Amino acid sequence: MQTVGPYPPAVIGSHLDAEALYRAHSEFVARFLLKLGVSGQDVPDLLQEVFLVAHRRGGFVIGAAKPTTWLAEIAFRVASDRRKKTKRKPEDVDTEAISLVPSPGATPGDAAESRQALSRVQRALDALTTDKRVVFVLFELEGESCDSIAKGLGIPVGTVYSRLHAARREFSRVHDELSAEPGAAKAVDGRGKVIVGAGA
Amino acid sequence: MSESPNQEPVRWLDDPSASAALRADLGHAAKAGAGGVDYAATLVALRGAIASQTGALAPAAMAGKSAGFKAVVGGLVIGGIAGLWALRSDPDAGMSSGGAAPPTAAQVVEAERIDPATGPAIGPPRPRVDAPQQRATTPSIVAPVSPSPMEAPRPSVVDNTVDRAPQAEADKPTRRPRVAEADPADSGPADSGPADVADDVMREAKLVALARKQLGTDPAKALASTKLHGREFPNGVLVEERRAIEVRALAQLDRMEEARRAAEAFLRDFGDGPHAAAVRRAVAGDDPLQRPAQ
Repeated sequence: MQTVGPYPPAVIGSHLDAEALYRAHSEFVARFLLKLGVSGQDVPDLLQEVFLVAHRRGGFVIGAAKPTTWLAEIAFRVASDRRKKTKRKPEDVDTEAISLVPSPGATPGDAAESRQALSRVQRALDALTTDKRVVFVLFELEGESCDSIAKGLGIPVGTVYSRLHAARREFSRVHDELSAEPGAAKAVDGRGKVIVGAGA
Repeated sequence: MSESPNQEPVRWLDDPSASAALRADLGHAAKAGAGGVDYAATLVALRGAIASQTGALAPAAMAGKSAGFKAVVGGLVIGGIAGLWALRSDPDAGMSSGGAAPPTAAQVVEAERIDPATGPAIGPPRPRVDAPQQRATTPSIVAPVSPSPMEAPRPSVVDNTVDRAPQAEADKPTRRPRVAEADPADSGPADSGPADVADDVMREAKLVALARKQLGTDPAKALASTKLHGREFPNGVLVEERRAIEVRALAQLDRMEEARRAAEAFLRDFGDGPHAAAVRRAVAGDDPLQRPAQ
């Protein structure tokens, strides 16, 4: 049973079972799996597997870390395991049905721009090794602190810093290339100025 | 953007010195959700998988005695049917773990599908097994009293920095229909034995799956199916899903006042559940299924 965060003393040691974790964090895990590069059609099974592993580990005990990064570590392992075992044919891959989608409430124009942005981000993430990708996604996209990531993944915080540093360098390089591609969507700042291609 | 690799950096999204293009793209990615995931079906599959791994009974923390038993039997039955279907038609289906493979989410989703050609595979109404009025909270979980029978115990401490409302009910369902024949085991009078409980759960799952399917094509029928579910399974395990479908169906029928009232009630009970975002979108007129066909 994992003990983990910044919680009031009164709840330290409280137990969250697999279903409670699922209800609170299933969307986070599904989103995280997609950002790790898991195929959309694998997401339901891996989503289930993540919480099944959480159950096997005896659930989550509130302590030093956070349930999200704890689940992220499980998701990372489950996704890596699936990647090793599965050699999926390209034609089997259906990325349309389950995928990252723009936030609700976006106008059609915003949604189109958002999809292009998501595509660039995913392609830049694809350039990262899985170790670096996990750290980058948790820090930059999910807003987790390095300390929380370290506790969740069970690695020294210095390792998180170095992986994040390397991931940022690589991500930025690829993102710049993608943004400079002909036909790349032009991001526009608040004053209507085109900003794609600006160096990171 | 040139911080040392040995210290906590500033997140790019919060760093004005980072490239504006980069921040714009990361902003979209940070706000993106996972679309098309059927969280309710996966939860059913998860319960079944846990039940099959733990033998006869789910962990005490999963639910109260009766609800837990129901979930276990239901999961096993759904898993069994899904497994049979998988053996028949999908050689790749199944979990990698050894022993008796628990049902995967995809299998359960398949098992719940109704073939439009054959109609609903829902048996005639049967006397209901007494359902627990409320799922019991578990001493090992810090949870408030559940507001409705469908509510699992919710942790009172949840990470609010990442706990966004789950975004997408399956707006674009993935692997659609397969017939999952209902076990027509209508033998003898109903009692509260395992077979009856399992049958109830299966019939409930099929009814909700039917309502969900109709949502995309015929919201009036979807609404009728939710009413039927409400009568037959007032305290069923899929009440949350049914009530979300009801809101979406009302909104699709442009019965917005009723939709808003139903949504308010839904969000009071399930405001942080997996269907809350879809319900909010529906009453905001942003349900993908409401958009006119091109």
